[in-house]
Amino acid sequence: MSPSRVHHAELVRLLNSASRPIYVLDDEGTIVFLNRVGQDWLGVGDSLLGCRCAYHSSPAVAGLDAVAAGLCPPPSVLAGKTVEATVVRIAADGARIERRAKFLPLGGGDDLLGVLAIVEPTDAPEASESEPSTTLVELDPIALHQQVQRFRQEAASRYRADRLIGAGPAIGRARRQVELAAAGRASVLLVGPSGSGRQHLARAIHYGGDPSDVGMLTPLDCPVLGADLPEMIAAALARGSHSDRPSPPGTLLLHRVDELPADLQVEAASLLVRRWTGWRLMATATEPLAELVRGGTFREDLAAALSTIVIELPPLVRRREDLPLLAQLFLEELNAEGQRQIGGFTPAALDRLDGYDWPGNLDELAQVVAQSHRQAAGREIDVGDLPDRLRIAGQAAARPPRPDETIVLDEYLGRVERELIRRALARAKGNKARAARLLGMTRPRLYRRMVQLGLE
Amino acid sequence: MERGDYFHLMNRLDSARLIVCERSGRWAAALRRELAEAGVRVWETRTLADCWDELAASPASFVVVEFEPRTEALLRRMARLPREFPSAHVAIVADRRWNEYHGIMLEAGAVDFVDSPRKMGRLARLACRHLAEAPAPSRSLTERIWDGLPWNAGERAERNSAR
Repeated sequence: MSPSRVHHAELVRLLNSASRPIYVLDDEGTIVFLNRVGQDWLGVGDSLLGCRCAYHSSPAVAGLDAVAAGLCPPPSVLAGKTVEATVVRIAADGARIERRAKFLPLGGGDDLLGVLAIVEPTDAPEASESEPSTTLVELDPIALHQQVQRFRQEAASRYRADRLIGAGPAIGRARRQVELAAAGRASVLLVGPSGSGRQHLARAIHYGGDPSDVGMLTPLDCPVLGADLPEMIAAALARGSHSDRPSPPGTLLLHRVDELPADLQVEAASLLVRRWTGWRLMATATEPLAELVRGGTFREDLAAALSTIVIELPPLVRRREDLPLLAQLFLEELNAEGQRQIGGFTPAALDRLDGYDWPGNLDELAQVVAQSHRQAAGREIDVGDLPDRLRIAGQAAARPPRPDETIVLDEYLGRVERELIRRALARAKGNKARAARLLGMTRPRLYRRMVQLGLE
Repeated sequence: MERGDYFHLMNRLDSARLIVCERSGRWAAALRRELAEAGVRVWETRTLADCWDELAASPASFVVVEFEPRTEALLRRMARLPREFPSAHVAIVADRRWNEYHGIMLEAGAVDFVDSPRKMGRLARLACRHLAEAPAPSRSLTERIWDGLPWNAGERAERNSAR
């Protein structure tokens, strides 16, 4: 046996004899060593070797990458600093089990070879579930790291496709397409009205993908970003390729892409269509982009690049049969968040929900349920716990429609003209010559109109 | 006022504001400089709780939050934002040393992440676009004609600054 192999074996024996978990990451965050105590603690044997730990895995998704994500070191280690932080193991029942760990950089800066992590032999005390005080105080990088790590775990479990419950064929088709989309990296267009849960499903598809292939999600709201959108797309692509540790190419989610004006479509296409970025594209819109292409209002190449899988979400009013299930789903989410436990809805309350048109779709239903959950005094949400506007809308629908009211156009325009002259006079402080100038008419004509309109 | 009753609150006149939550006031000052000509008023808060109370009162607001240590509270609030305030947007401002968290904050739902008070131009544009998109209170035909008259630009700016 060569001396180097002897030394290597000796090093491994030494680390394996430690009474606490020890692991080593290379400069890309890949686990290259995990001692026996560590393997026992995590319950994974040596199969974790070769897995990468990064924020951008989905730790709440079962699998080795999920375990690896819990061992992610704070970014400051990569800058050459020795730091203490928390590592996480997810128990079989989903509970977070935390331990303190010391991270030592092997080298630093451009010469970083990897990171040595030494984990405490016992679990840390359970963290408080209550929301911390929100007073702004000094930043603590390690606490921040833990918070971000927890966010990643919670995000993966929060966004699931379970809002797609329902019996109708449209929802059944959407459910199958979501599963298909989550299994690959094809572009996805989510089409539906505002409030129908398009963004939620986009996130569910992103987080539901292969944990080793889930990069960063970058949602970009097209109408709000407007002319700044190309710069934001370019920055996102650059951030993905220049991060400290290589991570899988991320997902770019272009929200409300159908509202992009023509000039920005050209710029977006030049960034996303005409060159290979490796990023997955997702978008939301209120109607299929293919229809906009036919209407000449959307670029064909961009539409094609965004529409490999098109998932259509019907408005809530077209899936009334699913209302009881959806309302109960939102209620269960609220029950899970806090102390207040409400069992369900009375039949009268469900009738009231069924009689409403839900212009705000799922978002509005979720808010109605939240408000009623706060309001309810009994074990079930009753009709009196629902917002008043549902009752008012129900009464309005029950009344026969009134015949269209008519106007006399000359009288109506006369009222508008009278009000504008009155305001112009007020602005001119009663000076008729100045008021006439403001209104673009002669003083005699203004005077005549004032007499005709009863202002003089 | 109960938080989250967005669709009811949308009928209120003052549904959209520009709210800044920070410790020192320097980000709000920089934003005011950028928005001087647009006449948009900047509302300041010092804690996240106060900021979210303001948001409850004006549920279609554009909220600028300084990156802060209790990020968990912020991330949790941002996660609930689409459900509680679907017409609101959040942007993050932070010292340059926190650039590492740029991507995470965008992923959490922030529309922008700005790392210097000297780079507030884009954020100001985003805020203006957001406020322009916010539902306007319904007005009579006369009000709309009056507002469209060229000599009322000053009054329009005054009304915008009061929002």
